[in-house]
Amino acid sequence: MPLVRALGTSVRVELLKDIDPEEFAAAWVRCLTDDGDGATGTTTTDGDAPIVVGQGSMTALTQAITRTFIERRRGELLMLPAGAVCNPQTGASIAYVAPGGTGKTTLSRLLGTTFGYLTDETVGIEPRTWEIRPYPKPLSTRTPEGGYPKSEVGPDALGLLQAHPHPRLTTLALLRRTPGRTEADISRLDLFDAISALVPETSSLPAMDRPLHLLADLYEELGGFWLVEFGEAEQLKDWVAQRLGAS
Amino acid sequence: MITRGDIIDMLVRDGESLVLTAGRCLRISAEGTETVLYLDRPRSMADLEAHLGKVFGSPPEGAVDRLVEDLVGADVLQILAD
Repeated sequence: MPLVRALGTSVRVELLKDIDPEEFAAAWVRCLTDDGDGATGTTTTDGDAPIVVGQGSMTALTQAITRTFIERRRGELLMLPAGAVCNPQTGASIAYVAPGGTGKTTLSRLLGTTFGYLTDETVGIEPRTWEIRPYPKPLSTRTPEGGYPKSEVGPDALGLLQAHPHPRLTTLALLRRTPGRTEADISRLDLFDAISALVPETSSLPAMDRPLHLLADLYEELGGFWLVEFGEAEQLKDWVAQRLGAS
Repeated sequence: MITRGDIIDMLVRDGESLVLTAGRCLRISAEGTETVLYLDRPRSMADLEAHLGKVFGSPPEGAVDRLVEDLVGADVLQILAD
């Protein structure tokens, strides 16, 4: 039974007949920690890891694994619905928060070919040290027609770079995508506006100790949060490179 | 008597505040912030009006009632049964 490790914890996945083990192994290549036997391997570590039953579609399985991870770290990690990449040399990282379906995966695919891929969906941050616990999950991609069903593609197959071993959050951006917008508008948010915008996006936040103070500490540490209004992911490449010290 | 509701966290900056309850995060004015801070234990409406009067000067007629009503509606305050 494969062991999937992410967000600083593990879950086991029991693959039923609907899920192809090789497809699963390729999609979850950066999270699998087994005994070298691929998706069919077993492990003797982390005996407390909960079991997720893999059935139905790969997309449904990814969602189930994500929910289990989030529940497991609830109250421990600051978890944001965000994609993230890092400078592979320094570990400086940017997380970009956005509601589902508004550009996180597209931006992660684009940025991940230049920067280290951390996740396209959930960023887990250690309070106070602001170290990121990566979740380099497969990326959900739509069919060529742009519709459903989605497929799950591993970061290796997409040519995304490996992350620094100790990524640390240095930039936090709230994305607002408007299709058709011709250039990005990037501004620093006021503390209260920033926190007010983040809280509704972050269902696990109330489980943290003094969550508003935690976000305020992060805001101070990072020198503010950014509002990034954009049309296409390409418009953000230079700014991200600048923020990660890679320009 | 009035007191605080189930507040998860309250962040005060420059007199104003953000308050997180189970349902939402609210930005609260200076008068509202002072109200929430003052009601760290059950107090009467008369005590609250007197306190806000000392801090901000006499409020317009009905203003404190409306403020309390809004904060109760947002679960930031609760009214205790006598």
